[in-house]
Amino acid sequence: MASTKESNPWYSELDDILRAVSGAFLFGIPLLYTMEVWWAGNQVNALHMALSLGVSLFLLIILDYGAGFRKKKEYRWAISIMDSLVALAVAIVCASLSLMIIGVLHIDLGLENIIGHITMEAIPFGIGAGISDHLVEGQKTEGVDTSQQLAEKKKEEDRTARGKLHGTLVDMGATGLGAVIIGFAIAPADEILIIASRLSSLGMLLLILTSLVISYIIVFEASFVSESKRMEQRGIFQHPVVETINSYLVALMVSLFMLWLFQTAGMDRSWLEWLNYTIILGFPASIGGAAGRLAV
Amino acid sequence: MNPPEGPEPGYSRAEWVSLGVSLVILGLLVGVVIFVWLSPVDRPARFEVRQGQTRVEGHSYYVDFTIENKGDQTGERVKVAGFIIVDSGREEASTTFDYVPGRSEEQGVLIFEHEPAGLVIRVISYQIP
Repeated sequence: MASTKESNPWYSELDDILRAVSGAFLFGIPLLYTMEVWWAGNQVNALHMALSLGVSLFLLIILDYGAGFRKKKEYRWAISIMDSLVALAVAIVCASLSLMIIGVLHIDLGLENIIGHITMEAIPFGIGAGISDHLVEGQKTEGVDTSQQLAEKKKEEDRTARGKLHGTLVDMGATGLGAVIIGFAIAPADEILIIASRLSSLGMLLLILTSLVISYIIVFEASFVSESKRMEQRGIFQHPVVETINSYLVALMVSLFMLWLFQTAGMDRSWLEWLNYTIILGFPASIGGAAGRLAV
Repeated sequence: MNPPEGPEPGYSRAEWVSLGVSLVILGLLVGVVIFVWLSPVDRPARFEVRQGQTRVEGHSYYVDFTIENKGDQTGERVKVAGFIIVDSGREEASTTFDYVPGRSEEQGVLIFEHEPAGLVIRVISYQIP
C-alpha cells in the first residue's frame, strides 16, 4: 500500500506541499504573533512590497539550492525557480489565512494595507517553506518490508502495557518541551491580549481547529524527521487523530502555565478571558509541540 | 528491495498543476501591488466620522461611531472627540486610535453621562507617521 501511495505523483505532490506548509508555520509562527510586523504592513508602499516579494523569491531560489521543500533528486536551476514560485505561493496563502484567523487581517483595512500585511508576513513564512526539507526531513522511501516489520513491532509493543505508558510519557514530554520552546518567546507579549480582543467566539473555535489541523499536518502528513519512527512510538495516544487532540491539550496546559508564569494578564480577569488567552497561545504552542514530538 | 524510486526527471503533472495554481496566486498579488503602485497614494489623511446607534448601559449612553480615512496616508494616534451641550455646560468624551490607515475604517464608542442629543463627533488631531 505504501509503495502505491509513493509512486502516485499526486500523493507525493500533496506531501511536498504539506511539507512546505509545515515549514512555513514552524518558522513563521513567532513572527505571526508580532505586532511590529502587522504595523509594517500598514506603512509599506507599493515599491517596498514589490521589492520584498522579489527579495523573498530570490532568497527562496538560493535556499532551494541547499534545502527547498521538495525531496530533491538533482539540482536544476529552472526547476529550482519553479519550486521557489510554488514555495512563495504557499507562504502567501499560509500567511494570509493565519492573519485572517487571528483577526489581524480584515476587509476594513483597505486593499493596500491588506496586501502590505500579507507581503510582510509572507517573508518569514516563505523562509520556513524554503528550508522545510531540512526542518522536515522525510524518510518515506523505505520499502514495504520495513513497514510490515514496523507493524509487527507496533503490535508487539501494544501488547505490553509498560511500553504503551512509556511511549505516552515520551510523547507528552516532547510535546510539552516543544510547546515551551516556541511558546516561551510569545507568552509574555501583549499580542495575546490584542488578538483576544479582536476574536469572536467563532474565531476562537476556528483557531482551535487550525491548531489541530496544522499540528496534525506537521506530525503525520509531512513525513517530518522520521515518520516511520513515529509509527514505532506507540503510546496510549494510539490513533493519529486522538494523539493530535491529546497533544493539543498538553500544549494548552503548557500555555496556561506560561501565561500564569509571566502574569501576561491580571488574575482579576474572568476565566473566560483566560481561556481565550490560552487558546491563542495554544496555536504557536501546539505547533511547537508537534515539532517537539518529531524530535523524539 | 525495490530500487530507489527516484521520481522521473522533470516535472510531474501534479507539480505542473501546483505551479499553475501558484502562478495564479502570485499573479493576483503582483497585480494588486501594481494597481496600488499606479493609483495615487499621496493624498493626505482625511477623516469622516459617522455616528451609529446609541445604547443605554446603567446610567451612561454609549454612542457607536465609525471613522473612515478617505485619504491615502495613514493617520497615527487619531483623536476623536464628541461633545454635547447640557444644563451645566458642555460634556465631552474622546478616544484615540493608534492607526487609521488610508482608505480604511475603524470603529469606536464614546460614552456620555447625559442623553447625547445634538451630539457632534469630530476628529481633533492626528500624527503623520
